[in-house]
Amino acid sequence: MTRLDPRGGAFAILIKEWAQIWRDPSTIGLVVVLPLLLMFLFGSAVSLDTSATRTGLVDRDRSAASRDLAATFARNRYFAVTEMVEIAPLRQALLEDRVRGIVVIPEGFGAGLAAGKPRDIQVITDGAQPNTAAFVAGHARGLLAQWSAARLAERGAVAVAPLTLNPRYRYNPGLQSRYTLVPGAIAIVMAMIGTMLTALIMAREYERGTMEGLLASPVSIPALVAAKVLPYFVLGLASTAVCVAVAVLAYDLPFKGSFPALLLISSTFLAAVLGQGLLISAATRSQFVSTQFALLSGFMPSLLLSGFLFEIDSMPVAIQYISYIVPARYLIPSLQSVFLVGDLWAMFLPNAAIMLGIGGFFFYRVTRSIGRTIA
Amino acid sequence: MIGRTRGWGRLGRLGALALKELKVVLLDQRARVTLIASPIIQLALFGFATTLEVSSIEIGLVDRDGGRVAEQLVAALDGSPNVRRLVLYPSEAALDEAIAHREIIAGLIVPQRLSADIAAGRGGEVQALLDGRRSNASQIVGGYLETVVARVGATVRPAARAPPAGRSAPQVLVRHWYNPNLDYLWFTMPSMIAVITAVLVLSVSAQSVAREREFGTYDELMILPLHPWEILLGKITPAFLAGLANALLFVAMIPTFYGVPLTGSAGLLLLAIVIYTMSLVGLGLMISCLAGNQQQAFLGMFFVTVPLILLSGYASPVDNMPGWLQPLVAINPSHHMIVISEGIFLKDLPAGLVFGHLWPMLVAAVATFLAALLVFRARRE
Repeated sequence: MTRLDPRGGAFAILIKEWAQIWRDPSTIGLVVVLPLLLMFLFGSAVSLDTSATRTGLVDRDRSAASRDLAATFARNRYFAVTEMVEIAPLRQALLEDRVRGIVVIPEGFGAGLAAGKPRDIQVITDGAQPNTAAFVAGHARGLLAQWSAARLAERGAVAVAPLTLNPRYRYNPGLQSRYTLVPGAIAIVMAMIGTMLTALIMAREYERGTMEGLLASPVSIPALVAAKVLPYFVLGLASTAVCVAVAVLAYDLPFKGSFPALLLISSTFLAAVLGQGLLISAATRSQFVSTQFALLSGFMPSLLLSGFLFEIDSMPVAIQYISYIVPARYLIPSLQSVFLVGDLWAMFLPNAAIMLGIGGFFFYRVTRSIGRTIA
Repeated sequence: MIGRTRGWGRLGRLGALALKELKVVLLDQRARVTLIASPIIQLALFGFATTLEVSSIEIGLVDRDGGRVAEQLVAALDGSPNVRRLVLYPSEAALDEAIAHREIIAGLIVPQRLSADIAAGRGGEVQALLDGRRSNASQIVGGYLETVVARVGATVRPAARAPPAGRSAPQVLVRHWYNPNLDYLWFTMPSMIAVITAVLVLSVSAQSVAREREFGTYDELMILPLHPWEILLGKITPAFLAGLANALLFVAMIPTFYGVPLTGSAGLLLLAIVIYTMSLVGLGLMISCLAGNQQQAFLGMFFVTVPLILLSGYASPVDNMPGWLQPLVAINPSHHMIVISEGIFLKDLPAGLVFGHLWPMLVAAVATFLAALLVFRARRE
């Protein structure tokens, strides 16, 4: 290593990079605490499973039928009902976010039913929370339909619906959003380590003026780039391992696929995001600007344009095209499948190839952009 | 500059420091572009991307019956604006395979003899397989398919079995207040103000002091003829102004370009934005004073920003979060800002309710600034 053998030189840079990483206590935070934090947030905090929605109820009729319907609402697991005599305090509660919906049973509800001229009930939702509002409306419709059917059945009128749907949710029978979100969190952790940290490493050398020294060493540029980036690749894989362990042990996710498959998709994704980070780093040459770019092109798209929180197919077409250059888009379906379905090589291989292609393109650009500076 | 500041004394020196900090950030052309262009790009890009609606879905169908039911189902699904593509599969196994490879999100299986059963008045069941990997989307698709199947059921039932004339069951009349068409953009745009401002302000302010430490100019800061708190105030000026400028730009852009109504008081919204930005700046400054170099500052910023955004109610409703996390939600400035922003945009939130969410942000701003000051002074000695 003391000899100026090019391969030894690359090895020396690798050792130097390792030392730099290990001497900084924030590294432990990165490899252990960051995965734990994100797994916790996506496993416990972010939940799309609508629990009992706080709902106000006003019964203006007070007949046997309306009392029965009110009791049905109170028993339903999708509603946490607060009953009031007047609607005015509930309006205020809706404004203050204390309830998300109001059910109003009109006067003459019971009499109308008996006479065969039913009066409709009214449901008011908090449209400022569209997702919850849609759930409240949907569950209220379902509840009323079931209640009416049960009532008619009691009276001997067989009101069997001619056709019903029997849904089965594959790979996630209990339909827990955790199963969707936790694999996504792993992608965020890897994107963070890949793009964000590597965004700093070249910029730091430029900013401190030590880049000239590296370029003056007899190491070829591709070897230099590889030596700088390899430790972060290892850190990324280590974090992935922590994440997978937490997902399986703490959050009970099944792991139906195999480790070689996981290794393939996670290492090709890391290649893509590491390349992205390096390019940002080499292009901006300033740690401050790099961090801004990394957040904009690494973290935010991985969170929002990758399809794990929001369906890509439902986005405007222009944004769908942009999502094709977000590496996480190719990782998340594969990662969800390796946990929940098994080894789907027909899905993994094309995605891995695309991610590797993105990574290769970025590395090529990085070596070119560094090469230019010597000339 | 110096001549003028002499007359102003301390305040002038503070102003000069703030001006210098602003120049450091804004003289770099790339930094200027990121600070100004990136929030606008984010608003356009991520605002539209944030949708929990599910449209243009791809559905599969296996018809083992060969009768009217499947015909009607195909007609109903083909005509629906929500369905982009309807694919017929020969067997359940093929359908399952297509779901596994994400070619379709859900598939319907029409069992043998279903049409005959319905003609005989026995009623029947259509099976659905849905992709549980995409839990929220498939839940919405499931609800949608249920409606379609019920509608088809009503058309294929024999006339003799139809319910007597006139409606026999009451219906639900739904009214969505504050957002009658449940337009998802009306929810995302006001919350984007809080989210994008948080990312911008925290990332800029977290670098402020850490950068000096890394460059070794920390000591030069200390010999300035200013109090530590004045130095810190000067250091956070760029982050504060950048955050404020972008948030104000968003408030102007959202009603103009996205058609979201601004029903409440713009003045109150601006006051909230100022206090919110202060709380973010304080938080970023605290991280910056604790960090030893820019990398640590960046990581620290990330450790704070991610929980801030995820516990704000933007990515998933706060109501769904477990009770033991609610105290964390209650001290999260981004959560209060989202409530205020949604409230003022959509609900014409009265001042009294706005103040209820303002003071926690103000407390956060003061507490974080004081904490930053303590760390800054402790590190000096």
